[in-house]
Amino acid sequence: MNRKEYLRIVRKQIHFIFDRDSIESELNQHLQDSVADLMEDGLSEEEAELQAVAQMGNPVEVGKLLNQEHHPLLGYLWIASMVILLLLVYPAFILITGFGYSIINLAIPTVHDTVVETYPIGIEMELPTHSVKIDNITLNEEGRYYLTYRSRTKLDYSRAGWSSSLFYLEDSAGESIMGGEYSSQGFGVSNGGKEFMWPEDDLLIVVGMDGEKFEINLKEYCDETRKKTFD
Amino acid sequence: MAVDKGYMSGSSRLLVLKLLSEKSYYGYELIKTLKTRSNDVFDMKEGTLYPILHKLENDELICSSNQQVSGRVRKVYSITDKGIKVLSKETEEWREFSLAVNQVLTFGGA
Repeated sequence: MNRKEYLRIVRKQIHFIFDRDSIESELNQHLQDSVADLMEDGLSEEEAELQAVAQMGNPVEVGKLLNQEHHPLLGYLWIASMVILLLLVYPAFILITGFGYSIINLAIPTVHDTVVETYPIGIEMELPTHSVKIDNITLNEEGRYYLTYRSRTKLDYSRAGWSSSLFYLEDSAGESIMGGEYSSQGFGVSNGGKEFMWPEDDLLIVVGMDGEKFEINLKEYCDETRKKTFD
Repeated sequence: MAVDKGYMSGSSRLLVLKLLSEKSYYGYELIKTLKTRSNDVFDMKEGTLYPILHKLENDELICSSNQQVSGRVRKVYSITDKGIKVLSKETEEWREFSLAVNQVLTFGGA
């Protein structure tokens, strides 16, 4: 049996179709690692793939056990509750934040297309001249991380008043990990995002702005992410 | 040495929790470590690890996130506070149980 066939059979056992992709992707990661190791031991690619699949065991058995952990009823209930929540919350959000804010939101580039993971950070910072909120960190399929933030100037609304150079990202050793960035400003509000490299083998990044520094440890947000997915 | 499957299924959950209490692992890395650390006794069918991980995650003893490790995006698991508590309780139970089994097995000499 080859890799594709193994994954296809496992997928078929999962009745909650929305979880099929993530399960397939995880098992596929495993098989790719396994094939790479076996090829290092001297097997051809074809032999390595057959061997890796054989080591996985029976796909029907594994698929059925996984299906028990991805119960369709709970899954569909969760999706339904999210849709209802969105319908209730979105109109309220528009009313509260006002028209200006929603125009600014539309101006942000769509970096969220291929997001595979969202860490809801929700840290708020009160600086002398601004209040800043770090909304979340996302990881997309290509392995790029983005940090998204919103800020409001406390001075006067005619000034955009936000310099993104005040805002930087470092690893725990103090090395810069910044990549590209985007932002949009208006009405004293600034929305933006920063692309950065997550330091290898470290769950910690340091965010600095306006002379203040604080750490974000991804491990702390792991639990929160989970609650949002399975409540 | 090959060991009966029944012994393995009961204890694999505990061993997974133990390893995750030391550091975060992705699935492939976890199964290789399990095998080495147990002198190849825990040589289970690799696919069967994932139902165990997803069950532990549903029980909120571990949590997962997609992260970039060695140039690729992988699903990485970490232990939760609840998981740490369950690990210490079940480790204690396991010690007591294996002690009792050993006592019976050695009584009067095997």
